[in-house]
Amino acid sequence: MPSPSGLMFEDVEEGAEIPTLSVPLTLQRLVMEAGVNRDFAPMHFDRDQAQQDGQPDVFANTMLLQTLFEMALRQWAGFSGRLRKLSFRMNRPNYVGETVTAYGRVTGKRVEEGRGIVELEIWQSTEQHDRTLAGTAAVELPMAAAGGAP
Amino acid sequence: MGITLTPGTWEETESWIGKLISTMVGPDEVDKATIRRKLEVLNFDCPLHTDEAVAREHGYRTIVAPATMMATWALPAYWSPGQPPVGSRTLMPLFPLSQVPAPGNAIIGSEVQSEYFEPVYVGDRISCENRLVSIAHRCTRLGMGAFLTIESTYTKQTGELVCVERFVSFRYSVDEHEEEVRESA
Repeated sequence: MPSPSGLMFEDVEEGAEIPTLSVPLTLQRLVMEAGVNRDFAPMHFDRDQAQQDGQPDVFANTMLLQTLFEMALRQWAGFSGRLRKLSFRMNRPNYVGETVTAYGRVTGKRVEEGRGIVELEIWQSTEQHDRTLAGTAAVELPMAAAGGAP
Repeated sequence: MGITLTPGTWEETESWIGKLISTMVGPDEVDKATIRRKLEVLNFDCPLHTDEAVAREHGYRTIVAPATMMATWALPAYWSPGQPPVGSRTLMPLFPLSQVPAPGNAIIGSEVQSEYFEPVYVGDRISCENRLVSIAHRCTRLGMGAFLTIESTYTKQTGELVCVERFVSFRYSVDEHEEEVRESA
């Protein structure tokens, strides 16, 4: 669970890495994700259809991967952080049976219209492939100088 | 193939640049049950998404949905009362990427860029407008095709902006890809 007290903007240092977060991509998990995010595109749970599309197997959909990043950033930022931007390129599908791990590293911070914004490099990798996804994120953190509220 | 992608020529695709592809109004309000089931999938343990008191303590009006559920809230229903039965057809989610007329019979996501503004709360109803922004023809490991960029602007029932998201997908033909694989073997 993320920290209730949260991370303050002033405490973030460039180069700091966020805790990693790993999830095994079981078929059941992909089916559960489809059931709740309502993306029933067959390549995410139907092996035959995925192979007809030229893929070796079913793979995680974009929303699952977005949420994995959000979870990792929430775990790092705590309850008071607010995700402002999330961008990534999907270099390779994350296939069923793989375990995907989310990573992040602080690349900069700035004050924008009185808000503390932390920029991060983010990526996801599996045991077999590095950076199946790679991109950036921006998280707003409370500033002690502003009284600590986002 | 079983997947419904709107057919067309590349000229037709180009004619859609800058135009509104679709407007989606979420068939359901943002609700606690769907949020809870979303948390269940990845074991997302954060009380901002389940506990109103904690959400309020951290500046939210009430329980807030994870930011990355945006597309779920606006996705149209697969079937609605009054429509004919679906039968054995495989339905594709009505994401705008499948509605752009273009050649090719397969599609895969390539890139997504999201910016989040107002939080999405239990009780909100999310809508979005989808526009084709650009098209870029490329040859990838999947064969010849094109990267299509669609921009979706999400708002809630109050008119407040909640998210702007650009999704880039690669539209290609599986038959052409398989032929190229055979020829290169």
